[in-house]
Amino acid sequence: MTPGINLQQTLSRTMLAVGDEPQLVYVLLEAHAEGVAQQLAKLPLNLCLVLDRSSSMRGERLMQVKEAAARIVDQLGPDDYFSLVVFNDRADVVIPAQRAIKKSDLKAAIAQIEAAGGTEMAQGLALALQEVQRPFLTRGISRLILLTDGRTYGDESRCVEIARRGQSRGIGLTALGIGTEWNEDLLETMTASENSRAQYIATAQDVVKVFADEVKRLHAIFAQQVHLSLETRPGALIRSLDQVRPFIAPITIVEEEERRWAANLGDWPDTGVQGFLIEVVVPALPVGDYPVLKLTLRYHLPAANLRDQVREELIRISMRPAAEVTHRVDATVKHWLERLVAYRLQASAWKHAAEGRLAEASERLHMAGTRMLNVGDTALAHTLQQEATRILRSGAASEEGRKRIRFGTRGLIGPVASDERETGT
Amino acid sequence: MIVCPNCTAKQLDGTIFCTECGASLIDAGPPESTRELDVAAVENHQTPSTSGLPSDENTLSDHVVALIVVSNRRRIEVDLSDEVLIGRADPTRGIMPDVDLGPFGGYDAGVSRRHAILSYRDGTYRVEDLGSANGTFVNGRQIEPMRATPVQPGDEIMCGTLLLRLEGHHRKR
Repeated sequence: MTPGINLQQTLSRTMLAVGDEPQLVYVLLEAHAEGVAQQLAKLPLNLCLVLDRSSSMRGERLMQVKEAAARIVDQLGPDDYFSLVVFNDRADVVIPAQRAIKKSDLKAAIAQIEAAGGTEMAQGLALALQEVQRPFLTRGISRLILLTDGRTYGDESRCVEIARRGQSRGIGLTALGIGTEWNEDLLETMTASENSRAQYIATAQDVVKVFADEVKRLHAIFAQQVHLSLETRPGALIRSLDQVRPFIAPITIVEEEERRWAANLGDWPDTGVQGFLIEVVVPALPVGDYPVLKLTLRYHLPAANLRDQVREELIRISMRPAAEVTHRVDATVKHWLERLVAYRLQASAWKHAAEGRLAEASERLHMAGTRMLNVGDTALAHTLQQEATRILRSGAASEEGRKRIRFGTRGLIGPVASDERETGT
Repeated sequence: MIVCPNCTAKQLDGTIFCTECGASLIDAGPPESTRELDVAAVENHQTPSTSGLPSDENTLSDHVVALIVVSNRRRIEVDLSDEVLIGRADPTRGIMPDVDLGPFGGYDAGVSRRHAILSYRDGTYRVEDLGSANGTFVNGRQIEPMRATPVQPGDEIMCGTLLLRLEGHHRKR
């Protein structure tokens, strides 16, 4: 089998009733690697850890983080590069970018990190970006993994700017927040780009696993610069495009020309499924079968020296007289949509809350809870109900509840149950 | 066009969840819809048959109370000169409760088609859960099914997760 990406489409409904109004169809697009694992070598990894060592990290947190960093060193191969930057009020390079060969030296350096001082993230990020760009890689994956437990003050916009600079050069950012003090708005903004994400680590004991999972995921990357273009038939519209698997993330889509949209989907690991939900508005059409959307996926397979690989997928619907059409919708599409709706509801709840509209905020959280209950996440549903009540009574959600909701609805509370998460969990 | 039963926002045909309030719109399809979708999850424990409500002809004078849907403060006037069935309408199964919580997000809140009975006799209001899938709660405490439990104006009655408040007729808010 030639290595590549396999695409699978599922529609909320494939048969629509003829009428004189436009209708909404949800398209679930699922992608997974095929013929890759046996045939392709691992891509070299160029990893820089950026660790918060402010005084609040002292104790259990720092211990776990150092343990996690040492484990990462163990996971790396001789072709991988590693560097480590720490920051408090200032930033220091603890391990300059180098191949992960003298592992005991690297671990000894990690063991000497101590916690003290405040949190000034931008300096740490700037230094890390510099360090990660030192190795010259003809191919491979460069990433920053940031871990923080606190709020940085005054340099937020600089943090975002540095993150964007890296992302524009193909250097993704994984931002991990531990505890309840860190600024989730900042981490989410910094990671609102392909190859980047923020994740909430609720307890220090999870740090080691979260780090290890991330390195495993990066090692599994096989396709790079995945790009999706969507071409609609006249009258049809793309209303939204969101990633739903392995976690929820809104995706920026750009209208390149009339009836053609495009989105960058970043690098993909060969484990698990990448799932996307597309909302398509279908215009009123007479009885018949119609292609409504053409999807074209383009990507590189650097380990096979294959560039600009292309997969196409045509989405078709049938228009039928109303009497022949049921209102049944596909259960899998509904499941992922329901999760996405919960995520959107909580996002709109925080917006309402910020504007002082507490009743609306509470209603949104309450409904998000109902949605999560339906998809089977009772723990998160419970948190949503609690915070819905709290916001009405005390005017604000708790820091922890807010983080659990923001990251939980996306499926980004660590350790995430890996990419193989199945429907219904 | 569909109108969301929960928030009255206009939605495109084919929309599964309201883009404004997130309520499920599947149960709110056009009237000819078969409504067969996805009821299993909520309705698994549907009571086999409670048809033919026992009616009590000997009632006191008119007793009109109101059930307030707490989440959106809507008011449902209820005449308790006879027992009333609280539930969710399902025309295809011929279930038409006196108090239909369908338009108030009943499906999402896990209200059963035949959820509970509200009555007034001998000066006492009572609510009886009909073995609903998700239970009935009075002031936060789950009541035993098939047993009429006294309630008073001001009490909170929760069907599934849909919160209602019982109000006597003389009280106005």
